[in-house]
Amino acid sequence: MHPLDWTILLLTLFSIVAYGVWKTRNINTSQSYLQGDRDLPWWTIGLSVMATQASAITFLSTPGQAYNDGMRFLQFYFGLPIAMVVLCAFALPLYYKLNVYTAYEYLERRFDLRARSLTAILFLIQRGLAAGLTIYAPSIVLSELMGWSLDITILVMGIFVIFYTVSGGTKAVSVTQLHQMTIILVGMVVAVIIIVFRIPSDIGFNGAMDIAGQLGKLKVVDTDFSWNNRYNIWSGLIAGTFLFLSYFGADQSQVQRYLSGKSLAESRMGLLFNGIFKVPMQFMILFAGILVFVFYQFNKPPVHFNKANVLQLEASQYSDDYRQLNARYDSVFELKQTAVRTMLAATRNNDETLRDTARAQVQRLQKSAAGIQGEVDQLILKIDDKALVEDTDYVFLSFIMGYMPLGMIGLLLAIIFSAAWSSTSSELSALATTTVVDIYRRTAVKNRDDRHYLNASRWFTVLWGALALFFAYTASLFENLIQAVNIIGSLFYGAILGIFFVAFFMKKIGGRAVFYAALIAEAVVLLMFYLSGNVAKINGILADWASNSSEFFAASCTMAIWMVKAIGNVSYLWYNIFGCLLVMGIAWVLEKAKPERMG
Amino acid sequence: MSVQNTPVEDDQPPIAGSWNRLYAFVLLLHVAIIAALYLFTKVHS
Repeated sequence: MHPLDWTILLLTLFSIVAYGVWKTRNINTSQSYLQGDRDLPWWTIGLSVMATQASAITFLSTPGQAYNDGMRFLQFYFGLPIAMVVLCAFALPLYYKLNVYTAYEYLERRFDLRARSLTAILFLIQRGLAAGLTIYAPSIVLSELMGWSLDITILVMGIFVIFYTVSGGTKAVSVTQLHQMTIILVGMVVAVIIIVFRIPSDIGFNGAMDIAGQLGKLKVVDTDFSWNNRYNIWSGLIAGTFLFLSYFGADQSQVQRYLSGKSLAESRMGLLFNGIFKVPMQFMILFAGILVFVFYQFNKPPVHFNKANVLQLEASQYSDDYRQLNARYDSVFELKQTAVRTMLAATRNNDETLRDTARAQVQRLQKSAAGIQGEVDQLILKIDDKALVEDTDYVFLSFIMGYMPLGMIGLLLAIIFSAAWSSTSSELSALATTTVVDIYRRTAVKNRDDRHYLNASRWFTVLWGALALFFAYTASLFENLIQAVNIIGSLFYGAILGIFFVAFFMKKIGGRAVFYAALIAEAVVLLMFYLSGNVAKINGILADWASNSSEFFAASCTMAIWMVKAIGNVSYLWYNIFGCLLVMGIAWVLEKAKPERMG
Repeated sequence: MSVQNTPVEDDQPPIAGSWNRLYAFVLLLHVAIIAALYLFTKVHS
């Protein structure tokens, strides 16, 4: 990397972190450490909420996802503005009225201690796992850039963010996020403009849109409903609303952000700001991936985007095979480029027959290219059968390193690091706050002086940082990072949201019923997730049983096979809604069966 | 740590006059954005 890029990268990161540490140098009570001084205006809250959600994964994975799969992922965010309005109307006034540190404190007031503790523990499990992924994602960038091992890079990344979160607590998180998010937004706009100018001048922006549209990359809204289609307008609006209600209303990493506002009105405005700008921001990030896709129709992309895998391949006994595959890939690329130009010319001339013929040829050549990429993946796996061959997360990074002008590489890497640190610091701060407020100070070590709890908060931040590092070492097991984060969230958010829904809207149900209902619902959701990954295996066993048993038992097995297939095909976004409805339904039944005397 | 009720000063929003109007504005804007994206999909497919 050029010295100018290094200067921009290091100056941006160090100045933001130094500012955060300096600004919070007088933090000396547990309240200011865990809750901030409750003096933030709405724009800081809004940007802080956005920065917490937009991790480095957002900037690494999302453009790659658009490159491969088009823009339909945007529908995932369609429920977010609805969730913001619901939370502003119902949850925020309640949190402010009760003057809580964490969302889970409210549950003890409404139900009892075990409901509060269970919800806090569910949050700690899912957020602790996700924090590992948010450290892992930018570590891929740095390890590739520096030539360091991934393990060392994860360690260096984590220690830096742990340092400034331990130093300034939740306020350090907010004041750094304001600047980090500003850099992120400005940088992404500049990046999109530069990518547009990188597209060949005879194609232009309109041509790029025509090509992407013809190849199905601009299909944002899909109105066809299907349980196993992850991204359509219905899963986005219905299941997505539940996911975001849970994430913003019951996930302490977000609740802590807006509870730092100087008034209820400022917090509400911050969330509504997020509701208005989130979808356009995600559109811009996905659109960057589409433009990179068009760019690579006229500039040969690497046959495999993960450079580390390619270097390993070139140095192996399979290097000749790799070179042959690369040469075939070159030929396919040249043919595809010609076909794309023909398709565009036909589109411009309104020659539908030629356009359709050319498009079919482009699609055939895309399949050939994908076939060659699959063969390269197989070669990589021959060298190391545990190698990660999924390279979606490397697409945008590879483009930045190869084609961005001097200075922009540094700025874009600063975006990725800013995003990583902003979300990780929120997570660590929230994990420490929940551990201290809902577990440690509430049940384990009571009635100590404030100094003790301030020190405990700092130590718990370090502990959660260390656990996040541990989880980061296992993150390479996931195929696509952004999906992995959302899947982990969806496994737990349904039950958490169900507990809050019962608290808000089912006033006659007590703590015992909601506690057992949440345990049962969580078990069901985890079972559904297990089934989704093991449909073939389980149905194989059931089919064996069916063939060796009585007619009645065989019919039962056949029905079970159908059910396993149906449940296993349900997309993870729906777990949020199922988990939530299960808690509400089971709690209602339990309360009816054995009513609890409400105090 | 005791949870205490705190009187909440429910400030008016800086724009739109009331929170309900502001919520309606955010939701209508969202509907307009989805409609625009639907048109975008139709035009480019």
